[in-house]
Amino acid sequence: MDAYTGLSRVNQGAKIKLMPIYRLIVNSKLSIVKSIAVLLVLLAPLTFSSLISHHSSLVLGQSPLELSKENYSLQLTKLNDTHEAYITAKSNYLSFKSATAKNDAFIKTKEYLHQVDELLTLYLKLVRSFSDNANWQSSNFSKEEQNNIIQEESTFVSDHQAKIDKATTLEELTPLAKDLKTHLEESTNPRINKIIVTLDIVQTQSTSEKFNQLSARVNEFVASRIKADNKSLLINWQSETANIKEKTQNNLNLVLQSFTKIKDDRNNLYQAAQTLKVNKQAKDELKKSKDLFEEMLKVI
Amino acid sequence: MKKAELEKSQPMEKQILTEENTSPEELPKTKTPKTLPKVDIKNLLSNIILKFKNLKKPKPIVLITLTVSIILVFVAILLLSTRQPKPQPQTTVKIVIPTPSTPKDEELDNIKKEISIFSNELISLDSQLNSIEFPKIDLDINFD
Repeated sequence: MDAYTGLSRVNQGAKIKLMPIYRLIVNSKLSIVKSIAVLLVLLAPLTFSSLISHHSSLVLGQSPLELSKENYSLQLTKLNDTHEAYITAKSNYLSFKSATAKNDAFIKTKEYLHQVDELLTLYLKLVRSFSDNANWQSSNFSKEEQNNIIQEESTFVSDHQAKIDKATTLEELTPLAKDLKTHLEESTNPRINKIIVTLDIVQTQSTSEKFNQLSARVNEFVASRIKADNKSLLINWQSETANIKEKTQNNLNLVLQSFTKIKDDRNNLYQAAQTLKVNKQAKDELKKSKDLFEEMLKVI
Repeated sequence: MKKAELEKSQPMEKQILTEENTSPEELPKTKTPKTLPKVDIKNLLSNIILKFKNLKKPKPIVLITLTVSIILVFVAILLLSTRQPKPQPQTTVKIVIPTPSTPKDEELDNIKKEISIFSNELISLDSQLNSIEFPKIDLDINFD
């Protein structure tokens, strides 16, 4: 007899494979084994229910933007897997040139292209979420205009995906992939790049507006409470905030000038990068105000 | 002893005399306290275990017992978890401060809050759009 399972050696080989845990519990003379089993059975539903409630609260607590980020990230992983499968199938087909290898290459390529369209759809949704999340009130840019562009690109991708799904031969897939590549290079990529630059500027404009409002409020509050000894400190603070405001505005003007040079074609990458660079200078200027506000409150 | 002597004697003496004259059979029997039979717990347990071992199908009984006990404990836990604790009467201790309390500066608090929100916005200014770089996709699909 086995000390742990309570089975004879003859039975052990055949029966323990069928239901080892059940036999261990039932046959064991050790009460501790039974107690542990009971505890585990009791804890399992409790743990499961708590895990479900925890997970659901996490999902429910996510903002649309965070959810879009997560979905896009997961799709990137999925696309990498299908890309590897496509590469292997392609290699096999090129080596053997058999009907089976061709069929396998067709299935894997079709799946890969389907996932490419899925990724693009989720990417466009992510950009849309950023657009919805931005504060457009301080800007002259139109949110609707940007969202319409995103919608047009999404429609193209979903139409392309439908074509991929309808394809029945490997020969159909190559031109469909080429169509998508051309469209991405000539339309989607430059248009979305421009939208990203727009979103970046909108964000800076919004922050600049908030800075102006907050500095005016802090100035008013501090001026009414500051002691006479610290008056010169307030004057220097005022000149410093005015400096930040002026430099930020100058940079934002340069940003807008640079932005007008961005075209909706494939050659807009350089101009988009230049615009983002100037916009960063405006952001850096605004960041200087962080310590300045906190410093002034300490004086009161 | 003669009857005449007995009638003449005092009440206490009467009692002693009657006791002396009565035979032991006539005396009333005193009640002895009953004791419970001693139960040997070890024997009882071993008997139960023995009876249990002699059962024809012990395994299903073990399983049924376990299942029933699990259900009972689980229901008990559920009941305990759903039962809300009774609101205990709050024992508030009033602290009397002799000095006049300073009024809360709401304006200052609001400004501090606004500065804090703005500082957080400044921190996340660069990281916001980093995650939306256009994806790089291999679309050179050819089988030549």
